[in-house]
Amino acid sequence: MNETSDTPEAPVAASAGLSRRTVLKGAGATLGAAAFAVAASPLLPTREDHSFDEFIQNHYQELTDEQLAKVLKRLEQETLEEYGAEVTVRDHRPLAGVKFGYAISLSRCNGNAKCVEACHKENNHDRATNQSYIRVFELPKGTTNMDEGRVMYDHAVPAPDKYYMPVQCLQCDNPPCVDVCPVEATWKEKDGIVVVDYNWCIGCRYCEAACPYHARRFNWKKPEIPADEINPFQSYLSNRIRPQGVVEKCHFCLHRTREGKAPACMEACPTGARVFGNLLDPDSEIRFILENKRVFVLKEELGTQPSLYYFFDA
Amino acid sequence: MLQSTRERRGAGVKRKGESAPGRGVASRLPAPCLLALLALGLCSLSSCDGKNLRPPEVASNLPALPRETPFPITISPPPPAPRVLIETPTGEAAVRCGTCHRGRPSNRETRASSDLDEFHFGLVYTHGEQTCISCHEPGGYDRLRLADGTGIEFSEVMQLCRQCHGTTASDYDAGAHGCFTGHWDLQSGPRQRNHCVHCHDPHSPTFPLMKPTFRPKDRFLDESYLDEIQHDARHPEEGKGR
Repeated sequence: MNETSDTPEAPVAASAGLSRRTVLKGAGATLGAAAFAVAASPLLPTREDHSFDEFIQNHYQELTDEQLAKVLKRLEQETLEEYGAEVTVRDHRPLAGVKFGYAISLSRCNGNAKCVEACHKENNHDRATNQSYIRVFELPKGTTNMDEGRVMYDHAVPAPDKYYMPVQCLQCDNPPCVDVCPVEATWKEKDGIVVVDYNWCIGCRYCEAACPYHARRFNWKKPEIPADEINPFQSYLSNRIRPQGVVEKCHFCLHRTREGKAPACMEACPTGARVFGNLLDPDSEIRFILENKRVFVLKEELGTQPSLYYFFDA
Repeated sequence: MLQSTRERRGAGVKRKGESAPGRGVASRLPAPCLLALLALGLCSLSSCDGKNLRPPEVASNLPALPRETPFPITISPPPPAPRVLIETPTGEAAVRCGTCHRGRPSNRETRASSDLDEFHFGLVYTHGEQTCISCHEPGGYDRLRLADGTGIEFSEVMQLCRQCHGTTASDYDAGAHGCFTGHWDLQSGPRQRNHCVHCHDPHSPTFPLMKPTFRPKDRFLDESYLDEIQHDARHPEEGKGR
């Protein structure tokens, strides 16, 4: 009851000298701060890459035209500073009356992987890891089970009793990756392309886990690309150089296809196995294939409803 | 299944377009109220920048109106009529087929490379069991000939292919075979296509084997590759052809 100077509750300021408690508290706080700094140090290089403007940047879909223009300019500036390459980052919006579809002939594809290389170059992928949005699976005939596929084959193709299935983002109409994103950094656009706002992505990789086609890629490190190899024709939602720590995926080369051009992987295919077009145009090549060929949907039972189909002919 | 998938997708697209917020309310309000609301909306748009959000659904780069004549589809021309290298007293010379074949009776029985014991050594011929003159015009050999005997120029070779490969030719016409480069949208730009003979050697039309030049480098893929090697070691009978 009596107030004494050695009561634990005694205010520190009241005592003339430093109490043992104060010293301990101070030491603890200093140690804590130091420990935090050490623990957070692996993040520091990442944080340096992020400018303040990027930190306060809004979601792509909520940017005003002026804000977007500023963002694009900043991205061009950053590419110039960090990579020494002059690039144009544009914003390609979906075309009216267009829903993109892709069909790959498993009878024609011979697994030469030129599409993989074309994607690598077109989309400014990291050179050290040969990153690409496409994987070509070598599968034994008689199954479409991706688990039995091999990617690292290195022999003349096609090998006997094997067939080849290129897998990239199938741009599902019911995309599980979009459903699981906790921050809505990925969504489906009106023309069917599932896109990622690389500046809004928090890198949790839920989408990568949710995708049944292994179509999403995580940037473990900052992409390394020599300045003269950078494709300067870039778009915000597609092939601009992605920062470290975000997820990316095939976007049907929207910086090309939304200008009416063919995607890079299709132009590179030496066997003519790839057919790209507008699903809403009844006279398009892709519609001819869907109506006349033996078409199958990869993992159809999952109900993802992809926009990329596989077909057999001849 | 496909049909229904497409219908569902079509419905989904429509649904998005129709979802204009507040349409039901607006239709029930009298016209003056609507005007006032519109004016209010305009004011708020111009005065408050923070709320001037870009509607995400609106396409800012709408395609150009359909052109009267869309951009053309160009088929790359096949190589010109062949020239054959021959030894002459003054050195090598590239000559037309007729240089040797004119005035020389054609052998109507030649069906295989092995029959060519006088000239064209090393010609690989694996295209059925036709004779030379099934496709080449006898006499001059500077032209091709169709099954009905009509002579055509080398540049018209696609007509010759179409005689037997009708299904593939239909696919080619529909764009399902042979692919293209350039523009999928002919309103935006032209398109280039290959000719049959760019991918298929007429004497040996099977597409050749290729060696993949660009391989993925991914530590996870490497691990799976290790798995693959172990798998092959356990099941050597499956590892053939790898």
